[in-house]
Parts: sequence; C-alpha cells; structure tokens
Amino acid sequence: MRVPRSNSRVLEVLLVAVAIAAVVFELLPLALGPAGLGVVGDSSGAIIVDARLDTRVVVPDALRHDDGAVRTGTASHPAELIAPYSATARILDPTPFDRTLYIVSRAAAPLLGLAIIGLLLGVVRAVRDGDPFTRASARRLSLLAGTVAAGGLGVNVLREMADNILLARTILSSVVALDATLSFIPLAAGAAIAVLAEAFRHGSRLREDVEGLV
Amino acid sequence: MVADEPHQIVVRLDVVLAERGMTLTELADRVGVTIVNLSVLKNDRAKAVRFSTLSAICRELDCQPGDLLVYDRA
Repeated sequence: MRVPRSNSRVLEVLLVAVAIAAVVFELLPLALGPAGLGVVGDSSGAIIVDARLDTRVVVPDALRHDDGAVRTGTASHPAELIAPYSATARILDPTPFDRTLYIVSRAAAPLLGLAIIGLLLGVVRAVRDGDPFTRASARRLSLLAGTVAAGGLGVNVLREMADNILLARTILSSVVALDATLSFIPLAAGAAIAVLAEAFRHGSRLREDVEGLV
Repeated sequence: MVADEPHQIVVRLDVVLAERGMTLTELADRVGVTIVNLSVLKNDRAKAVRFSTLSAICRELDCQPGDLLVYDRA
C-alpha cells in the first residue's frame, strides 16, 4: 500500500525537528556551558556528574537504626533510605582534560541521535517517493541497525567510563562507588532493526522480480 | 539474479497489431492494460508477462501466444 506523501512529509519534518532540538537543547548548551566555552550556566565552571556513593559513606547515627537502615520521615509517614545512595557531584575547577572528557561523553548520545535521524531520513524519503523497497533502503536499515546497537552500547560505555574517570580524579573517589551498569536495550533494538533490514532486502528482491512485469 | 539476466524472447506485438489493423491504444482499451505497459511489451522492454495479460491480448487479437512471442537463437 502506498503511504500518502503528506504522511511521509510530516514524518520528515518531525525528524528534522528532533534533530534541531538535539542540537539546540543538547549540543549547544554543552558547547556553551561550563565545561565548554563557559558562556552560559554555572559561572563557577564546575561540571556536574551523577554518582553512586560507596557504602562506606557515613550517615549520622541519629538517623541510623540497629539494622543499619536509615529511617527518615515522620511517625505517621515512615520511610527509610537504603544504600547505595546516589548523589550529584560538582567537580570544581576541572582541568582541560576533565572538560574534554565530559563534553565528549555527553555529546556522544546526541551525535548518535543525529546519525540515526540522518539514516532514517533517507528511508523516509524513499517511502515518500513511493519506492521504499530498494537495495539502498535495505543498506540504510542495516547501517542503522549497526549504528543503534554498537553506537548505543558505545555511548553507554563511554559515559560510564568518563564518569568513573572524572570522579576517580577528584577527592570524591574515597566515597564514590565506581559504576559499571550497562543497558543491553540498544543491542535488542539493533537486532530488531536488522530483522527489518532483512525484510526490506527481501522486499527489494521481490520488487526487482516484478519490475518490467506486464 | 534471474530477473536481471538478458533474454532472447522477442515480442511480435507490433507485427500482429499491423496484421489485425489495430492500434496499441485500442488494444490497451480492450485488454484493460495501460498503454505504457503495452508499449513496454511491444518494445521488448518487458521482463515478464502475466498469463492473464497474455490471455487477454490473445483473445482480442485472435492469436496464439506463439504468434506473439518468439525465441531468438542469435
């Protein structure tokens, strides 16, 4: 069934809008922020990293009960804190290396997003032209599958490594637990797109078969 | 791929049309196939023909498939 050109056009505009949003709300603030040129944001030049505190972190005894849990709240609304605790670390006076590492690790995700949008635009334009089942579309989808799987995992690894390096280089290293949680969702998404790419490859072969059929 | 391979089938639609004194436009109307597609067939640019199309052409031109399609050994 042929997809109306207006639907494809809407999808194309939406993708371009997402790409512009990624540049305006992700990449520009990063370049102009404290870790970059320092034009906007925290004037102290500190960079902010989410951290998971080590279980060695001492919680005031007044809050601690015999079983080690930290009770908080009120008598009518009891609650408790359970380790590990998360924190927001402000790294003051970062070195140029720290800034570069921070920017590269934060820019990787939006840049990956832009690459994915670029590949998707190619497929959407082929749909708009009424000719989606081509070898070019199948190639683009295969590339997209690889980009989502490898890129998504790579961005995760890069950010975890960068945060660990940034925190390890500060005095916070004594209270911060180095983290290494990875999401395998990009691999699953990449595999799903690879299946779609294979379907397009099959579709392009079928289309070539019926091309010139009278 | 088989679909892309060259073939030696020659379509003699123009000859049969001339013998019957019928135009391509008229045949297209009678058969219910676009003139563009019939033109593709007439000019040997078709890669395949549906049996339904071939049947309709044979019916309207009162001929056999062998009158329309010839294998060129050269």
